[in-house]
Amino acid sequence: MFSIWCTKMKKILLIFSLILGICCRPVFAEEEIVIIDSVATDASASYSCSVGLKHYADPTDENTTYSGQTWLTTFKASDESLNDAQTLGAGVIMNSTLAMDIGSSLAFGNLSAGQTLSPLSALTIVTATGNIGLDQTLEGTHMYSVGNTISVENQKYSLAASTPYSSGTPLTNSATNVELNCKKTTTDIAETKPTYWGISIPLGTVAGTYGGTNTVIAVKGEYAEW
Amino acid sequence: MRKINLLILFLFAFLPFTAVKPVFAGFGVSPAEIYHDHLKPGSKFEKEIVLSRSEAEEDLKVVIETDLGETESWVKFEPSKEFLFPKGEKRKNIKAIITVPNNADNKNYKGLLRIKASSVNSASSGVSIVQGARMEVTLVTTSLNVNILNLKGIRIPDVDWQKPIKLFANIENTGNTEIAPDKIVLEILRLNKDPIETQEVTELEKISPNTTKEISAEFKNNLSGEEYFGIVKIYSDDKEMYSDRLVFKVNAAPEGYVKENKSNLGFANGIILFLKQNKTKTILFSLLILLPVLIGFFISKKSKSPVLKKVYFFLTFLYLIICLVLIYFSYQKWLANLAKPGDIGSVQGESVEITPTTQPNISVDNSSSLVIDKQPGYPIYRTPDVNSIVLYTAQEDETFKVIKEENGWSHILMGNGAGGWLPKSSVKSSN
Repeated sequence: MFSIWCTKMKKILLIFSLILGICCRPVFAEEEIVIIDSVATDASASYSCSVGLKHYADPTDENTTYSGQTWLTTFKASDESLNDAQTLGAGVIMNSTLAMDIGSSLAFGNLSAGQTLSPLSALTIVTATGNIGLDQTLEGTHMYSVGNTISVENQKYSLAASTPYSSGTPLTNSATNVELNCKKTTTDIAETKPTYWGISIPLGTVAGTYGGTNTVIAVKGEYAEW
Repeated sequence: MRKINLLILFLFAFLPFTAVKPVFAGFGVSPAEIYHDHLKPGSKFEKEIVLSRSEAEEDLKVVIETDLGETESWVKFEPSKEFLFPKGEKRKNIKAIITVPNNADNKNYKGLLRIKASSVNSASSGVSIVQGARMEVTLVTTSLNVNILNLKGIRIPDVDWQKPIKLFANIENTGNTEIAPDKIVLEILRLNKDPIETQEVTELEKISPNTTKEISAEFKNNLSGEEYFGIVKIYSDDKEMYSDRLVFKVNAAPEGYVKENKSNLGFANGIILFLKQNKTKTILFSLLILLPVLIGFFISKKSKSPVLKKVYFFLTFLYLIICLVLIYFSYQKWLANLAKPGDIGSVQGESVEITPTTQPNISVDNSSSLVIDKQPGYPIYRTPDVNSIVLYTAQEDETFKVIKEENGWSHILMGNGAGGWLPKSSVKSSN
């Protein structure tokens, strides 16, 4: 909520926005609201404005690129003679949001005993849906089917496309850091990064429907990599 | 035969991994880490964590796994380490409550939280994917005092006429000691930015460490009913921590407090206004006059002696005259206050303090106004004395309403509602 005053209000154009820091750098999440008021006699008027922040608005909390800065609300009022911009209120610290979306399921397809999915071609795609860059940790469980087991280490992954199964990294049941370096999303088109998966079915494995769980945990990336 | 069996088994051993159900869409936590670099042993720190997801079509089971080393026993969670993220909710707030033991060593403690979310109805076949987020936890303990106040917001609600101006400041204490701001200074200006007065409050409520609190400060209100700018400065640790300009409105004076001055008041209107503004005195005067007079007349009427009758009547009449004289003097005293230098307030019931060297926007003019001679700068004094405080330096063509003239001085009314004194030689009639 803010008020404007002038000796006699004319038609005034108001632009309300959020600016990061005092340097007024271009802001990804800036949004403007324009109000035109045609009241001709009042000396003052009050307005309530809200600005919808994009989910990828730059964070300013600890250990982020703009730590120590704040988001400031500003408005600019103008008519044929007035052109005044003012910052309103205290700055706001923007929290970092560690968020991701796994856009596809991990589908190996139908395989027979002794078959190996090589090169690694099953996909998980991490989408950065927060406001920071991402790494990931990966872990999994053995896959079971009515008393039969396929070991978790039979799954392998790689960040590079066309990696032969033999060159992939085996999945384990303890969380392993993976330098995904998924960039911070900075536009409405989200940043993504794929991980390629493969599996080898040991000879002699009994036919059945095997189920297991892979856990993909989002980790805050080093902000130099955002 | 055994080889044939193996061959048959091999041929039919197709292993489906395609029945994979994506458990849910995006999942996130905010903030991305828990960080506090000046916790005191024995202190408590709460951090709110917001869990969010892009779809809310099913219940999620959320599990918080901790890997906190030495600080494992310091951290508790609200509601708990395992809870349901119910269908239909896209955001859920949880809280990490960190209690530092009194005997904790002063050093850096690091740890991790893994927050995993999985569908309550997870797929029974294929490779399900569980999503989650890993938060780093960095806690630094110290015995040093750290004072950090952050202003989250400030407001001055509209205020009724002559009621104190209340300023509310929402302040977060991210330090480790209980402190209050040193002082809050409020500079009041007219909307044309002419300064009126500056006040400060030093006795302010303390804010506990790691909490946010809205504290208030009260300032005296001698302003007339209109809108004002308030330049607010908040000081902490002998430094200005925040400064901003707000607007606030003083509601109009109650009915009866008309914007008049002595020169505009006739005797009858003056008496009516005086009685309206002094209701208690009016009732008291009425009782003091009416009761004794009625009693006096009653006694004089009942008295059988003609002499006593006359004496009672005379005394009652005398009493009535004395009462009317007292009312008249009381009225005169009230009237004198209306024209008190530097304070037109009693007319409106206000007493605006004018800061010297201000530049009020002088409004003007009517038939009883005077105009300043065209000379640069004329000081307007608080009292009819050149050694008194200069309220304002008038410039050429500025006109003022005259309240009265006295001993070579003109008592004038400035546009900002305050009274002041000008040497009579400095002014000329605008008529």
